[in-house]
Amino acid sequence: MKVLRVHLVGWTASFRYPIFITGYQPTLPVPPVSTIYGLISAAKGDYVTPLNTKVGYVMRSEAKGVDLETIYMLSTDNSAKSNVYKREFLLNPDLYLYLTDLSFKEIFKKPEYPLLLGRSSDLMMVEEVKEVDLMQKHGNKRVGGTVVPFEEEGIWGPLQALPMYFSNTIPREAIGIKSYYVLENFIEYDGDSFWYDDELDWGVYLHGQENISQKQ
Amino acid sequence: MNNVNGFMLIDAPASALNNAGPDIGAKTENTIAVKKIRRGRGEYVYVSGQAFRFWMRSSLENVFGWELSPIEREAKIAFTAADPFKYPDDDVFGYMRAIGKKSGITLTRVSPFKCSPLISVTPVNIVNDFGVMARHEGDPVPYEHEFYSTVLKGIFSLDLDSVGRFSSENKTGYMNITEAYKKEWEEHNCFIEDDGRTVVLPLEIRAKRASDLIGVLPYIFGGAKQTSHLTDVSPKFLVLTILNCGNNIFMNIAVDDKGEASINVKALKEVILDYRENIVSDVYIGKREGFIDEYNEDLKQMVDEINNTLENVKVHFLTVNEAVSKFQQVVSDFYKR
Repeated sequence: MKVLRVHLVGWTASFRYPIFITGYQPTLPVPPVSTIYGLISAAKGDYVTPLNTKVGYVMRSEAKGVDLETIYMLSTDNSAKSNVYKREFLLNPDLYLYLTDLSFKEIFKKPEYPLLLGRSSDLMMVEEVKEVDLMQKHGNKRVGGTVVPFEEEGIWGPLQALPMYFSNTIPREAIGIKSYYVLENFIEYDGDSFWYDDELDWGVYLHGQENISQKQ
Repeated sequence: MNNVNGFMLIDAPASALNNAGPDIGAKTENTIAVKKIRRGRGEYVYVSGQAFRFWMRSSLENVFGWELSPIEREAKIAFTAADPFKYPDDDVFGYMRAIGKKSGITLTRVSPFKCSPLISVTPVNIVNDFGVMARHEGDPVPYEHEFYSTVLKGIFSLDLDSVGRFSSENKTGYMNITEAYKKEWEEHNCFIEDDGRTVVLPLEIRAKRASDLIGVLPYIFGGAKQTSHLTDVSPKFLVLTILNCGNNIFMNIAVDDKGEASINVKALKEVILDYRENIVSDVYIGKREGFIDEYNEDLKQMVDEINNTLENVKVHFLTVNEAVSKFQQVVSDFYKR
């Protein structure tokens, strides 16, 4: 299958665990699907959802650090109180995106808004935009650096409830929340639910509309 | 979308620019650790993006007299806090303000200025310094703090189209203002666009805000422990240009060369050539004499080669202050196109 592969690099990235509201803010080791659709929306300069394109991704990083941040808690009487909390972030994120809609090629060559992976300090650079062939490879392959829906047979790892994408309203609503395996490291996988990138030698799980309808 | 793309190197000899508080597990109870990331065997020190933004804000106040948006204030009109007409830092650095459940309106503005943390280019040897407080009667109080010598890299982008342009679109990040600001925008002689959904400040105000933000770079002051370390945090190497897209193209030009921070001149040349179609201004490279002078010849050669090859883009190799003041003019002229 012909897909678009976009390689992005950055210095830092952070993906908040949705269940932590205050106190220590850990980061997920890989972005949720919703972050990926946010990144694609920034590139297009318009709202992109799983209805527009299916996406797969593999992200690795080199280390994890902890930052101290000040937040200002505003109250209704217009006063503000400061508080310091710890927030984790990832060093040198390296992200390969796979998009089934090839028309995004021009969009990633000339992204509309600055590309960010997480928060406003997590700036990203497009390193390469390329059309590649994903193959069906039966038998053993390594998969990781991504999230995979819980029901997928043959996959194992920590589970986390994550959204698929966010609505374009105020307030934003998380849509398609379900359980995902969060695959930080690569594992050996035997099934056929992943496509295979021959050049980089890893499996690619495609998230998108077909996956939603199959599982519902 | 037109963005200023900037890259900088900051020389930090014997510095402790951003601290992470008490070092839990240190020999003594009062050791203050610098912010750092461990990667493999090496430690990389950093200054958080939040801290750098604070340096920018406070320097803009000190150098250009910006009136900064106060965090505490009295409620006089509907929403006084997030006021991008009155306070230039609200405009350029963005805001989020929950107005309350009753009115159901939350104002948010995506920051037109975005910056990375400053991160050391190479792994760093962090030194533990020992000090005492002994000016009082009785036992002296010992304390320790960490510091380092390194070169920090940072990038930033400034969305020129968004500076001084405020929308009331009902989308997160785009609900900058409401009708309650009408008096403000009338006082500032703003233009109204998109059937009233977008309010735009006069060009000269937008040009001043954007060019001040660039112009403050050589005068930027900030960082922790300045009383005992006094680090000059103004950039010693700087690349500035305007791109018509949101790619941050200068992320790979500082590299670790056998433990020394160095400039990958080849990579810098490659991105300028690769993105020639997206670069809408000239490229300004500023370097302070005395800082990584071994790259002077390579940089001059690269500048000549590009200037001989490209028609639409010229590269200027100047001192930091010259590069900044010329580029300030470029930014101002951008609004008068």
